[in-house]
Amino acid sequence: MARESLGAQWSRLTPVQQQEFALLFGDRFQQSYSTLVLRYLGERKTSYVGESVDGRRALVETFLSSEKDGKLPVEYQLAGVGDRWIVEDVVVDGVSLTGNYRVQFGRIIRTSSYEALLHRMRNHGE
Amino acid sequence: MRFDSGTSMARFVMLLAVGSVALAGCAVLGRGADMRTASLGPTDDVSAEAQDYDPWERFNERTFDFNHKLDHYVIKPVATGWSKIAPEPVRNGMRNMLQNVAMPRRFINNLFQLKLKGAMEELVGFVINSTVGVGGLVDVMREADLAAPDAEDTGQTLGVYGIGPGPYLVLPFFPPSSLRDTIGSTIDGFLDPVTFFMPFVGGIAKRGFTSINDRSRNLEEFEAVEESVVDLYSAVRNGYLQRRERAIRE
Repeated sequence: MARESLGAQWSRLTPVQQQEFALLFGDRFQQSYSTLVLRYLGERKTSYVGESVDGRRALVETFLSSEKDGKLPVEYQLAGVGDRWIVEDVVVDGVSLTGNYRVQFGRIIRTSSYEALLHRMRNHGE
Repeated sequence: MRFDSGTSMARFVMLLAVGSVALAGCAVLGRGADMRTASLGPTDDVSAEAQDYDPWERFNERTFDFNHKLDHYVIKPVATGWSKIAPEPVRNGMRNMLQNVAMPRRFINNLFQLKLKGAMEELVGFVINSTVGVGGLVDVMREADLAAPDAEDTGQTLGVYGIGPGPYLVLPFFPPSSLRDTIGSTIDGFLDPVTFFMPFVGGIAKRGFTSINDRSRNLEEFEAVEESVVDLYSAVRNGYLQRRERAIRE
């Protein structure tokens, strides 16, 4: 997922840099995960709609519902790797989050640099 | 889903907030695995930004920044005040009422897109919500899970007939849009009973109130989004364009 979100830039990185980015990506979102889940998901209900598996790809469809906003479709796109599944993308109400992060990362790299992106991700929320 | 373009910003913000949660979950799940599978499949070499057509970025960036400050210094404080005066059910009721009144726009655009079922559902929904739902305060159709036709608008109708979004466009005091959708929203204004009968004052008052009311219902979500993105401008732009594309396909 870290790779997907970085787009073309990923292949320009050394394995060490790739690992660094993946860790940073994971940390960043684990952090917003705990903040957001504790704050908001408490009042939302997740309902499971269905899943479809096509070879090594799978799609899991869910709805997040709340009194306030009604139903929000959330799809998880998974890819089979070895004996496990990894999430490749999460599509919330039509918005691919991997795609969204790729555009954000791409803009920072284009307007400043990859180093600037790393810097921003490191210092986020501080 | 039955949501109005007027609330699309608030809703978008909400979904980004929720979405980041989902993504966070995935980042955690996929952690470690990502590195080992780095060679899986070709990496998309097409410039990621190519898909978001934004030739007026310099202008948009400035207006986006202006709108952001406007939100921070005016809209949010007023919305916070409003949320203290009006309890949540009242604010939700107001939202429902404003959406119910905007039925003509959705109805006509369902017709133009030959979505006859959607058009019928809009009509039936309007009658039921206006009567059983006490003048639209309660969205009976949604509460009862009866029907939730897509909220069609003129921008989508133009899209269905093959007109692309054109350049991304952010105007001061307006939510993010595109050239096509700005033209669409202008036409939608004529299909809105409030702005139709009171074009100028009514339109501004309604838009102002809708913004405040929507914001009051999403006070914390916005901050959560700001915290969870690394580049707010492109996150919002991409989210807007992706959602519109999907809405047109559906």
